[in-house]
Amino acid sequence: MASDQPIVMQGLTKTYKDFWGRNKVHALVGLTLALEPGEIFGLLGPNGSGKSTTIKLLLGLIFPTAGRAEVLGLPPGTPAVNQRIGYLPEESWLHRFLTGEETLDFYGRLFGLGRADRRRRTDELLDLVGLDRRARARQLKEYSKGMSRRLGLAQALVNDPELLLLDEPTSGLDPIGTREMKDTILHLKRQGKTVLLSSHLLADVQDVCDRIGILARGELKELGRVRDLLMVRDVYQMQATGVTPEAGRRIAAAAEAAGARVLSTGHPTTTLEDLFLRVIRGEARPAPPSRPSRETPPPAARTDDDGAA
Amino acid sequence: MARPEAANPARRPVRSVWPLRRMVAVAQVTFRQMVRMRLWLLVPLAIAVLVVADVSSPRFEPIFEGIPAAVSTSLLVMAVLAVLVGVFIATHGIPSEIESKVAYTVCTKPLSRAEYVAGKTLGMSVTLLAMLAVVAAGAYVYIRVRADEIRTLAARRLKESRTWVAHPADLNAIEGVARDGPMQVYRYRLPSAGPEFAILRDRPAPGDADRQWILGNTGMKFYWDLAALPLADWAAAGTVELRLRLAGREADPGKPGQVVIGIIPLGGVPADQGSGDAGAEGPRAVRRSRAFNVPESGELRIPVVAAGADPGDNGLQAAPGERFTLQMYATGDGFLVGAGADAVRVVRPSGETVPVDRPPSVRIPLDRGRNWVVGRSALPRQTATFRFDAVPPGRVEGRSTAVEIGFSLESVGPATAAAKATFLNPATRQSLSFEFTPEGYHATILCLDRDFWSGGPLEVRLESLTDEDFLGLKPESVRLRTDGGPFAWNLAMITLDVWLFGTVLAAFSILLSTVFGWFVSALGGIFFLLIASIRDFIRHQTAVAIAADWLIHTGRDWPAWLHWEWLVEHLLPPVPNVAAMLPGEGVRMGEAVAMLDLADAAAWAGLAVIVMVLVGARLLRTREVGA
Repeated sequence: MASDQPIVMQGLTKTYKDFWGRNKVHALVGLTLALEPGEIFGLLGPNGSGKSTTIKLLLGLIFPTAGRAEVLGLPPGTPAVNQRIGYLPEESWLHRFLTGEETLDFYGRLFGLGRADRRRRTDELLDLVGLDRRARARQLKEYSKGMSRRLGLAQALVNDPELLLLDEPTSGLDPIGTREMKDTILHLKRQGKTVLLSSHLLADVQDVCDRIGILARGELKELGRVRDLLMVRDVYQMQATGVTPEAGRRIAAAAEAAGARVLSTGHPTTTLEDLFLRVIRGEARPAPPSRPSRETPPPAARTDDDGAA
Repeated sequence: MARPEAANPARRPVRSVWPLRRMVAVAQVTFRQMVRMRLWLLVPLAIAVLVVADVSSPRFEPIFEGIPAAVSTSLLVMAVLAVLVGVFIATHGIPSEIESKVAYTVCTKPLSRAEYVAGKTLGMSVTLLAMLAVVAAGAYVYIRVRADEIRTLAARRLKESRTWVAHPADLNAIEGVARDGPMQVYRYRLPSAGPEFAILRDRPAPGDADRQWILGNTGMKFYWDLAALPLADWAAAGTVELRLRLAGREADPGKPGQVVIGIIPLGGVPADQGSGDAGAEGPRAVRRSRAFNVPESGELRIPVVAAGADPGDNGLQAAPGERFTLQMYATGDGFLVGAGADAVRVVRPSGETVPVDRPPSVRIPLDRGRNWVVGRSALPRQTATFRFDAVPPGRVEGRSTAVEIGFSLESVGPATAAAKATFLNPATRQSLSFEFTPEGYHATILCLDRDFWSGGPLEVRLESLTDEDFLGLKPESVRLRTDGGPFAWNLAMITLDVWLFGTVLAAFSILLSTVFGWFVSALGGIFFLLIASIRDFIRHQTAVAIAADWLIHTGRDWPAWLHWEWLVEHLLPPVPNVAAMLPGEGVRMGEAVAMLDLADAAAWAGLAVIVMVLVGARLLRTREVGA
């Protein structure tokens, strides 16, 4: 295994057994996968596909039935590994009786931060995730789900980790929170951190991930760079501004004259998320479209150049 | 969310830390959780229980072990609190974090399982200590406030009871509380000599003091070891004569008492020879014992012949090669037989007289590590004397000094047994007697008035006043209660003692909870508590009894170098003595806890907790927390 790959899995298999030791569920079957340093990798799949099982195996919370995994070059679950990783659980599984500040202070202590460091880091992280002064002093049992997710992210970052494992990071967040979470993840990537996230919210994964793997019934069905996987190679799209209806007709005619078949023309639409954020933020100017028009038909089939490793 | 670059500065190297800091962090969170779960509500509840139990107690209990209800109940309340917190709450910690998946987050931090389990245990222990401290403080304040009232109540009860209480001892304990109040603390002083057994008679005769005595129909026996004499070899050459010089007294003139004398082969009687008891006849029987009347002179001459020869009307037979013990017991109620050092002589067939020159040893058949005072209501009767040498006066003149003597007696008869204790102050030659009803499981507390005795030597003489009950005594059966120091200090010591127990219980419950859910863990904790509670039963009623029975039935002596009492004491070392922490058994609220005992308990508790934490950590490490 290459030592610079933050996560390496080889034939990782997990079978849950029942009380009598009989095989009950094959949660993960022979997963072989490696993450590159500094990338954001998305694990996609429907419920029960093995996403959370993979992350738990990488955290050492459960043990593989077969195969092996290495995290930062070490066996999962050891304190030396845990010192360098951050984990955002699927739901914010934190002590409900602690306040936000106490929670971060507690986890800071587990990482061996001194009192002054803990205080500063707590302030920084609570600011980062957008929890205000009043919220910090409240016990977590009074938090909304969104607030809990924010605090969950803060605790995952308390040690400034090299590697982040985010289980459904946008689950339970409103569109603003979702966008902020995605921006934060992208920023963490810019800081050189490696991120493994799992989600079944496809748009979120598409927006932030460099590579994705699609799991179904515990098996890796698809793996590759997002752009390569989503690219519709036999359709060409051009976006331009200042195109009058007449100019549009002429461009289409020119394209057909050049041997192309025009599938659709018109104005692209933005995403509902963009619209919502503009409305909430009171922005007048439409943002440039972040993705191709909905009028563009979906690719009929994936190309053979899918970049699968 | 703000831009991370503003809030997240350059990565700092994470300091490696002393493991204790992480453990303390977990402990602190556990303590905070307990506080915020409103576990502390148990504290006022416990104090309320103490107050209600004391105020609404249907009977005023200064008489029970000499400890007022308020004082003993506070110990009970603390023990219950230790059990509640130790078992039920401790089992909640780890399973609830696994169930609520908080453990998923915690276990992904650089925290070893040992630190996690140790932190949980420490947090639970600190929680328990804080709660016990508050309850103890509450109990102290309450008892202090009530002290005068309890003393007054005791005085009034004493006055009311004088007319109808049968035994003076029953009033005596109330007297102690009425005089010294409830906040007395005592420690035990063991006798410097005793029990010394003697026969108490109303008409002693000259020379009696040098003799050993046995009583008729009590099972008491005389033994002389004749193993050094080749009695059977001598008998093969002719008739050997055993000459005994006895003192027979106090027998009913209408029913003269008898003695049964036998020569018992060492190693037991061969099966094919029969026992040859008095009156037993048979072609192959060897006559080994006969009943004899004791003449006024006290002189008995018993011929001993070879096994095949005719023993005549009063003779005994000895089989070849045998070595013997001479044994004697008396029949007839109140028949008293004495024997001195010169009581036995053997006359060989050649006419040579061989003196045994040894006083007999006196034994009671019941012998489970105790000596016995045989029951007899009328004189003569057996007495056991305990002596205390030179108790410093300072020990009995303190403010809270309770000059009390506790009897720890066992009776093999019915609960209607009666006993008598006589105290003798050798300095003033004054004596004081109490009759009481001994119980098998509780000490009888008798208070000595300070006018009668306030330090110096003291003698305590015990007698059984019923005909069928034997009182089993050890040297420590009679203990002197002397001043044990300040009440508050003692309460703190006891609180620490209970806390140690609660911590061990919590550690055990947490150990179970690393594998099982809270319900199974709680059941396991209760089982552990049960085992701990019957620890003494297991030791004494099982181990001691089995060992003692084996020794008795095999006729063996336990090797002197092997201290079996010590072995029995340490059979279950990690199991704390729960019974000792509950009122009414063993250590009580009024009894001073010795620092050495506390240190011993702390060492055992510490060792047990460390082992349980390590085992728990190992189990948790192999457990799939996220499954």
